[in-house]
Amino acid sequence: MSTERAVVFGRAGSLVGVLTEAKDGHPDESTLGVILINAGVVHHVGPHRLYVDLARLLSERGRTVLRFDHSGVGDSPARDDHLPFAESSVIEVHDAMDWLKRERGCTRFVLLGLCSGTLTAFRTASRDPRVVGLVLLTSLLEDPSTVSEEVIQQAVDRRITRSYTSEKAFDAKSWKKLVTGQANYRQIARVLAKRIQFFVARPRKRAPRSSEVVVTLGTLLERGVSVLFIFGEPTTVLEYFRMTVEPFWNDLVSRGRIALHVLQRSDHTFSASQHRQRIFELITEWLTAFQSELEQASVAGPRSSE
Amino acid sequence: MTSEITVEPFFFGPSEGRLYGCYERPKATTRTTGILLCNPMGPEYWSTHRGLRQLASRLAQKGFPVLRFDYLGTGDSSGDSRHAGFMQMARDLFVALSELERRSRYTSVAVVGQRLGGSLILSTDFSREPLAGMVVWDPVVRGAELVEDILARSRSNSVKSGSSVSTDVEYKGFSWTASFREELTYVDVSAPAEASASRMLFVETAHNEALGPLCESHRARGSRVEHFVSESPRADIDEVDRIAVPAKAIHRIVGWMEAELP
Repeated sequence: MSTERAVVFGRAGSLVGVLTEAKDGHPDESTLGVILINAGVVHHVGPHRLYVDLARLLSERGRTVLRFDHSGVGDSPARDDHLPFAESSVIEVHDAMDWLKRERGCTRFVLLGLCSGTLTAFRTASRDPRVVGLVLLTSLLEDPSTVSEEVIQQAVDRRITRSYTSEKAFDAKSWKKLVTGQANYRQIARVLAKRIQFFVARPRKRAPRSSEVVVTLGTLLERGVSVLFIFGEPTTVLEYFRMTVEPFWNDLVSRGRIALHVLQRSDHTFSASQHRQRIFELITEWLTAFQSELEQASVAGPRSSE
Repeated sequence: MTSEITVEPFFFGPSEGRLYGCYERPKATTRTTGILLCNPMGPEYWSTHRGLRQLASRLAQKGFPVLRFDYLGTGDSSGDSRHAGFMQMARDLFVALSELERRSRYTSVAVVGQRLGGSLILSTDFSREPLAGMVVWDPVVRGAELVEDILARSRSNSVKSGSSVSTDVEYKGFSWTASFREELTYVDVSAPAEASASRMLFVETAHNEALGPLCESHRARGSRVEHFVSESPRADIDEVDRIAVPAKAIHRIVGWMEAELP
């Protein structure tokens, strides 16, 4: 059984978290701390208890894991300084790293986030060289408020198309919905017409413009940070990733260790236990490989879809 | 906010089944009532956490020491869904009450229970330590109906499990074991044998026809009962991706406790 300790840390002494102690950790591994970052406003237990189960599993494999609540989220009280979340969240992950260094001697860190937690992990990694690994579940590496409505709609359309042209094509329940009039015909017709139009009158392929996210990712990879992406499919966030990051994938792979896994028929919080189980396998495999390759971070990782 | 109260997270209870608690201690108070909050279960646990956390903070700001805790097999507490159950919730409730007493040295206690936590406090015998007040928030009145609901929703929503041997029913990330479901079929708080507390507040944020008669039953048994109906959003079992904070309900509960409890 894992040893867990409720902790309070941070500059104001108000960040609440749970430390899961490494069990029989290899001496070299004990310097590597894993920090789990809030998934939106879901507290440090994680959606469907994902963070609790993952922390306990990793502790069995010799990892020290801290999961905590940002100010104003979960059990941590709000800050008094009115800092924007984009800034305070990064400061608080720094505080978590400082605390793990002081209390457990951790000098290098893997940050894991889900949904908006991935943005905090990404921002922190780009500013703090102590971060050597990122595990990004259902990752959106941009502030959603900065993404145009039109682009979001494109991603939604792509998700609906993918859902109807692959997964639901073989699902009797979806066909029943369609023939009994329970499906949203107007939306499906609009999206499918748009996709057909795209294939019939396909515009000349233009080279996609490299975004700030891709540039930062490349810089992190060159710095030796290993990155693991895991998405559920069909999800809008995955389609947005395909629109914005995937066109640059080969270039990113050439720069460092980066991997992508897509779990079919999963939602964005991985609510089915079989999907969470698969995530645990992927993360533990990745961490094992990561540990042995930590000093040679420029090696490109695997890429698969399942 | 942070200067008026102290937040103390900790583990407590027996070594074979540690429970996680979060105690909100007012820095200065003349109140003598400690308050225990009892969570819902399953997917509603995490979709209601934010609301209950805000309720705890608001009550602590009014001078009440408040303890929230996770039942065994849920949240941060030890174990997994195999350890969770209605009987276990009842055992954990008394462990948490003892812990609240140890920490706050209150002279009276009040309990708040939401959804299955509401059913729990309604079906618990508090006669050894009579309650100063009880807040019952959208309780599950008949457990059998919840079981039917879980079974129906899991059939229509869940991804088929690889292990067909398992009798667990998974819905929105929580496994309801066969023993838990069986325990729930015996839960029926619609006809109280005696008054649960001298002062009771029933909060209804999702329409429930059973609540009106339930309030009447408690009145008939001598409790002073208020039935508050609000349009606050309730984090529904189908909406776990949305975290709703039922502000009106929280406001009423805080106001009621401030007026009714020492």
